[in-house]
Order: sequence, then C-alpha cells, then structure tokens
Amino acid sequence: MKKHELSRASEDSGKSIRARPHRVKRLNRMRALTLIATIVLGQANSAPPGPPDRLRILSANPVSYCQAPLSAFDGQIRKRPLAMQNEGTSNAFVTCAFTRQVSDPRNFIFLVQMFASNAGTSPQDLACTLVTGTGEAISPDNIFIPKTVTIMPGVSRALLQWDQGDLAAITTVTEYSLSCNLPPSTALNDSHIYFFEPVLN
Amino acid sequence: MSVKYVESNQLTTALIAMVIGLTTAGAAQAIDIINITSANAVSYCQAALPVFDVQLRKRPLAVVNEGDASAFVTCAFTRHGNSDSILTLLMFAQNTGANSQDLTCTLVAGVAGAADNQLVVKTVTLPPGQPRQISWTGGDFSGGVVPDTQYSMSCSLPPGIGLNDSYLSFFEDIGQ
Repeated sequence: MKKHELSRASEDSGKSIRARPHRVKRLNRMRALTLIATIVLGQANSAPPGPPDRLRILSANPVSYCQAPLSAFDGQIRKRPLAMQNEGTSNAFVTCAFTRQVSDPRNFIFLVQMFASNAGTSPQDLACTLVTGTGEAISPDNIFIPKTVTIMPGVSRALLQWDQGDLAAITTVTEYSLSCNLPPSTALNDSHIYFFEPVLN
Repeated sequence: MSVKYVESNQLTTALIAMVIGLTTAGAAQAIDIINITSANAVSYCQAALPVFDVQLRKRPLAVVNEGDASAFVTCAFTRHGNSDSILTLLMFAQNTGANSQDLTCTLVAGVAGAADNQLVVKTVTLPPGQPRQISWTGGDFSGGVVPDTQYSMSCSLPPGIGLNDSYLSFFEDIGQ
C-alpha cells in the first residue's frame, strides 16, 4: 500500500463509523497526513550517519492468518477469498496472528489496520482486541487493547485500527495477534501492519 | 517467567550483531542482512483433521490442545520472496498442564511431488508451565544446509501443550 492508499484507507474508515462521521473522517485524514509527513520529513531530514528508514507494510486477506478459535465457531464462519464472515445467527469469535518481519529491533509496528464489513440489515458492533506477546502468562510484553466499531448495514470498508497512540505502551519487539467477536453478518476483510525498516547505505 | 523473553532478547542481540557485522563488509560486495519472519501460531498452523480441531483452541498467543488425547497440528511457514534458504526455523511451545510432556514435530522441507524432500523429526520435553523451543538449522539436513524450498511442520501435541511464536531467519540480499 502506497501513501495515497494509506490516505484513502483512512478516509474510507470515516465513512463507515457512525458516530460523528465528519470529525472521525477529519481526524483520520489528519492522522494519514501526519503519517505521510512523518515519512517524508524523515526521509528529507535523514542526515548522516543514519540512512532513511523505509516504510514497510505487510497485508493480506484474513484467510491467510485468521481462524475460528473453536470448532463450534467454525460452523458459523465462512472463509471466502476476501472475507471471513459470520453466517450464523449468533456471535462467533475469530483469532488472527499477524506475520511480522524483524530485521532491526527498531522496527516496532506503529499501525495495525483491520477492515471489516456488514452484510446484514441492521448496524452491528464489531469488537476486536489486539494482543501483543509471545506466549500466554509467560511473556512480560502481553498487552491487550480492545476496540469496537459500529458498522452500518451494507458498509464494506469499516476500519478498526491501532495507531501510534494505542501502541505506545509496547516497548519490546514482540508479536501481534487479534481476537474478534463477530456479530452475525459481519466479516473481517483485509488487514495491514505498518513498520519502518532501515535502509542500509 | 522470563525464559522466553530472555531467549527472544538473545535472538535480537544475535541478529543485531550479525547485521552490523554484515553491513560493515567491503563496499564493493553485495550486502546480505539477516531478516526474520515471525508470528504467533494461528498465523501458520491448523488442525490436521476435523477430529483434532475439536480438541484445539486457537488463541491469539497459542494454539493449545485442550482435549484429553494427542492432536496433530500442521504448520506451513511463509517465505520471503527475496531470500535464500532459511538459516534457522525456531518454534516456541509451552505446557499448560501439570505433568511434563514430550512434543514431537517433524519439519518437512520440500514441495509436493519433489523427489528430494527432507523430513527431520525432533522431540522436546516440556516441563509444566515452562516454554521451550524446538529448532532446526543447517546441520539437521543432509549437506549441512537447510534446503532451498518450502518449510512445513507436523506436530503431535499432547494434552495441555500449545504452540506459540515461530521465527524463520534468512539472508536477504539488499544490493551493494
């Protein structure tokens, strides 16, 4: 995803969030612009000895790295090329674990985005918890950051995202996973994780 | 409690040392850096059959066998498109039960239909509540290097055992 796509993604998110859509849209656009400015300024001001960092984004549709946590939920979840959708009549959980690249300890992930949709006829709240860490109850870097987005009927680009403010508490190089509670007719779509990678001279 | 964290830090330290060492090589030489692809187990691993699926819980940080019998899990790792064969494949596992358990995993290096696929079996004993790692390096394979192919894994998880995070390290050519 390029810079203009980042901006587009943030704008799309504003359309899908019910509460204060104009404010959300403006904030997301500002976030996108801030991110782009950071990238550009970082590249322009990169004086020796440090070379500029390169923005890297890893992305995929959810079947690549998401699963129903229990077989009971598997009976409700349809895994499509573009979505993992709850086609049942009750909520279903989905767990995702993002693939990450580590070439330098500084490449903390600074933005996690998950797009979602609602194929139903009524608004639905999709709740996801970002979980960082590398093993339950044994890792000092386990952090849980829940988020909820209300998705209006027919909306296909709702956005759940964890930005620099949300991720500031993460101070170690670690793994990023997600646990989502999908109401009926909602789906997880594509996700994107952002980090900087050093460019060597 | 901090065993895994320390090991992860050691991994990172080794990575930094290798990157620095490699990037200070002669200016005319192509530069390789060590890169690592990592994720928690849900990203790569699934139950091998529906009968095992009912025993497994896929959590954000682990795929755990919550059943009463062993369950098979299959993992298939993503390779970086611009890499040579991997240097090391490392998987952490943990034991949530009350008794020590043996975790056995078979790394399958190869693709369907190839004549030179290699299977390397490893077993690690997991004390209760403790994480351990199971890993493969070049020395585990014929020829002393990890084959340049795809990497998958089949594990037999005893009750209470969970697969956690995994790491594939490889050289990446970033030019001169």
